[in-house]
Amino acid sequence: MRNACNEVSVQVVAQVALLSDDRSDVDAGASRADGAMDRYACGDEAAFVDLYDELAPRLHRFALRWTRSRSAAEDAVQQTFLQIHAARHRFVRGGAVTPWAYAIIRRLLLDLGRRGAREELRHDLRDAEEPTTAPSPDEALHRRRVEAEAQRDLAFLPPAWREAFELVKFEGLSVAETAEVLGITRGMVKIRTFRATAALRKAMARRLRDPSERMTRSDPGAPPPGETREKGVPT
Amino acid sequence: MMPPESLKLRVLETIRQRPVPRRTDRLPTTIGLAVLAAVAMSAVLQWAPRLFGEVGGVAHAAGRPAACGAWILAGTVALALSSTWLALPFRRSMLSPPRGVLLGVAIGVPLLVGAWLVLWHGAYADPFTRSGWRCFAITILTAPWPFAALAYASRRAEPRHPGTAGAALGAVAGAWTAVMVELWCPLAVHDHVLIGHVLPLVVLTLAGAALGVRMFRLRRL
Repeated sequence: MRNACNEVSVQVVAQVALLSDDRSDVDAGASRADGAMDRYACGDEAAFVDLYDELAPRLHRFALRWTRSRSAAEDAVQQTFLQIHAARHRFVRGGAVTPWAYAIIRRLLLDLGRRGAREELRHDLRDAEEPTTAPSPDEALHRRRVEAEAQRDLAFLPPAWREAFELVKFEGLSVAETAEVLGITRGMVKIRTFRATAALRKAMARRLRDPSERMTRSDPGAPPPGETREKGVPT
Repeated sequence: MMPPESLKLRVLETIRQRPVPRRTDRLPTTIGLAVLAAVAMSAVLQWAPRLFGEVGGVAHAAGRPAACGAWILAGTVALALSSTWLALPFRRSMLSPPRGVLLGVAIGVPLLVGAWLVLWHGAYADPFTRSGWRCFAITILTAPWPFAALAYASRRAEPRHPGTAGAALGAVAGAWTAVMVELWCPLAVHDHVLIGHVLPLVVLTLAGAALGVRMFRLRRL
């Protein structure tokens, strides 16, 4: 029993690693971004380029994961930087720019209303500059299947849990930063992330027990079996 | 997946075409606005009661024992200070406090003001009887000034929950208005407190929410 649990945990971790394999050194990047924003607010025009270089890849990846549309993601990133630029004179001394930027782009994406229209990950979104060290067909098939299962498990999560989980696990934000982005308390972030992780682990365990289930679960809007909801809101 | 280079060029070109001044120290302006708001509230307290044929200023509250008046005032000031501290982004952040805190302020301020005043009912004999509509009107007339100062101090940027932030600021403005109105009104009877002191704070909170959605929301540039 204990071995089975460990196996499940390892697979969940592997799924998360697969989904966030291009994650950078986010902590150092955040402090560099904060410094660049501070310099930009103080009048150093060139610092905006540094700020863009630090934040744009992360914001773009976040928007792309959210919208599944390259043009929408680029529009959201551009708008976010314009909002940051417009608030330059109001930027608080020593403030953190990363949670603020994520809060802005999240709001823009919510306003765009694209959250409800998630499309399946299209393979043409792959970066043309990605290294093409082609794995064997079996490996590629396995990787794609695990990715698809991980994406589907994520899609099953309630939006509030998924947002907290994605920001902490994929974007590498701290609990405090995630709390700022979402406008909730740190304790609530911990609870949501924990519940999301537990739900993913549970989904994985269920699939391992019953491999045929992956063929039957096709409605990403429906709650997974056993999950409790009150008036449509996850508890 | 990295963003394309064309996006970077587009962003840099757009911000070059829309110059924004560098950071300015907002503290002197904020303090100036707070002082202006205090002066304006005092002026309203002095002159607005005359519209209803009443005595303006603190002389109107002469029938209340000084000690009770001081305690009531001290409690209201403490509430106004703590709600200001909770609702404004004093911390090193461009974002306002969590939604739960803002909702707590928006709901808690009217309730606590009412509870605090009713607590003093029976501690002294009310000098006269009024329904409370004068206090209601004076509160509404006094509130725009602190709200304007608070809206400036809040940096007018809230991409997450502008309505809740506005509601909290409306409640905080109401708390500071309550301080001024308590200088004028000596009554602590239940009906009067409900109509004259709690109801206007609820109205201010709702008005703040409506204004917040318009003022603090993100606009496409």
